[in-house]
Amino acid sequence: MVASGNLEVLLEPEFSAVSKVRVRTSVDGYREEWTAILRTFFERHDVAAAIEINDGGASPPIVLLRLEQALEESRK
Amino acid sequence: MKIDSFAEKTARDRARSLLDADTFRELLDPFVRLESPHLPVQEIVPQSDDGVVIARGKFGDKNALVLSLEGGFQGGSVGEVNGAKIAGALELALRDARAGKLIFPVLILDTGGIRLQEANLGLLAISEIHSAIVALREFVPVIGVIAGRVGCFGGMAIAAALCTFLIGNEVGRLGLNGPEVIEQEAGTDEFDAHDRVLIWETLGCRRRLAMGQVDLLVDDSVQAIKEAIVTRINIGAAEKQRGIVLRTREIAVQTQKIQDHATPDLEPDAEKSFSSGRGRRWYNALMENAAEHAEGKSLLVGDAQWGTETIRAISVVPNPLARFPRARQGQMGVEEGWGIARAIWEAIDSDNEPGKVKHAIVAIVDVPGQAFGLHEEQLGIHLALAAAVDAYITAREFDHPVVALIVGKAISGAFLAHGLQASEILALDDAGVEIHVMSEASVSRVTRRSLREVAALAQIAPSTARDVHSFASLGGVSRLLKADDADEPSPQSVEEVRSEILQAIRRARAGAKSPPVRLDSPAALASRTMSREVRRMLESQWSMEL
Repeated sequence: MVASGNLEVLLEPEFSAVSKVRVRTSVDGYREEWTAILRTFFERHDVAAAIEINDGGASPPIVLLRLEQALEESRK
Repeated sequence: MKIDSFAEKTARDRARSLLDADTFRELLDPFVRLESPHLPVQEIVPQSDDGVVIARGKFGDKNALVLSLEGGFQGGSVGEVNGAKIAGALELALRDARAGKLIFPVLILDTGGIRLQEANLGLLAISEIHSAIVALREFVPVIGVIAGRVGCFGGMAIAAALCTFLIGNEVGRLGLNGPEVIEQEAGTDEFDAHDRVLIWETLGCRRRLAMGQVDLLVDDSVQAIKEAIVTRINIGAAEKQRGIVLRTREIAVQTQKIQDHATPDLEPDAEKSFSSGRGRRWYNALMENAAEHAEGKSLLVGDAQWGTETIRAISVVPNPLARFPRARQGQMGVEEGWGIARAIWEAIDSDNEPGKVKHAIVAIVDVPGQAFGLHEEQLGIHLALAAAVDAYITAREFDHPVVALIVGKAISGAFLAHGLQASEILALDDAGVEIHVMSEASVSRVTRRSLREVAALAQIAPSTARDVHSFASLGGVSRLLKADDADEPSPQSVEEVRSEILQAIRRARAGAKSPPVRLDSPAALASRTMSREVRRMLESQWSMEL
């Protein structure tokens, strides 16, 4: 789990083969951007994870960074 | 050595960095998912720790509890869930301290105060935090740290003033009212919220240190803050908390500072008043010494004998001649806060003998808010209000029955300092009774919503409503009283209210007294479900050994 004030990412192992992602965001209308971020993340990492993102207006690069950090932390 | 900035860290990393290596254990961590149920219905994304980290761990051989507010989430504001996390953890530390197990609490305060979206639920939670800090202070030093970008404001500034020892850094600010709210309420002439120099000279921790309102100023480094905490804990443990001077009890010193302060020379404004005057009228109706208080006072204090009970009644009223212009219309200002503290401590001290029947303290509440002003902030109005809070709680702890009667407005910091610490709150069932945390205009400005949206919110979130029935539905009021005319009550109505106050006094003498008992009221069982659930879950995770 990582957080930086206006963004929170909770990542847990998912035991089925399909990853699940829930995004709640305070900013409407960025579905394509979210899809692109998540596609990048899952292309880089072949993992099955249950991910929850609570977003208070973070930028896409920060979201990707926090996803990477959450994955890193979950492997510790 | 590389300096490890404290201010740059998140709430969780701050807690982790202060505790001894590998001893950090978070209670109700994010995967428990105790988030605010009130934010999503207002289209705000919640977080799964609700912006507060509760951690247990060690400082050397001592057990520690670190409560860390996340300034980056909703301005570090306190709502129902995170407020219950803080209050609940302090209540468990108090329970353990009373059983001889000392846990040393540290509050990392990066907070704007009450979360406006949860309004009166946050107000109740903060009053419970105050109550726990004052009770816990008798056993261990309660340490506050103000070292984050938000600073520490509102009801949590009062909590900071209640701490035994307060550590700040150059990043931190401390004050009752934030600059934007003062500007909104009192105008740019009173306080220009864009004047950064003015803000820091008034609210910065360096200034607070000079005023004796912060005890130690340290560098923005984890090492410096940890060293200050550990040093203070070791002193506190050795002294066993006896003989320590608490700043909320320095009544004579602080009153002198206020007298020496040059106040603005403004003409008294007699007719402009937004107070109903009910505080004075009900005081006069219930008390016999009304003649002593004809005018020229903003604080009415008097004793009366009601049957076997000796009553000390306190009411804050408009006074066009008051020295501080922002407190002339019935607001709670620096003189009123310290005056309440003095009145209550007189009763505590005079009754502090074995076998003596203790005064019942009756707060007659009609306070349209705290005084929003530059001079108030310069003098530390948060501390004046904390002195009143401390006195009410201490009276209760010393077995004085404390009863509040709301006859008019009961608003925000003023209500925290005058009424909310009563063992029981009675209120007139009347449309002129209002309980809320901020004017609509300020709520609109701070939350960036239109006035229409703010008004619409009250329909879906009762904690943001202003009427007495909504507040009673949160368990905030034990009895709603009928009066034939709340502005000009008949003698019969006055006698009925007097009888209700006496019954509440008898209940207070007989039973449990601290505000957490409000959580067991029938209304709270239905409406404060998260306040209760958080405490229940916290207790189940509390005692696992490190």
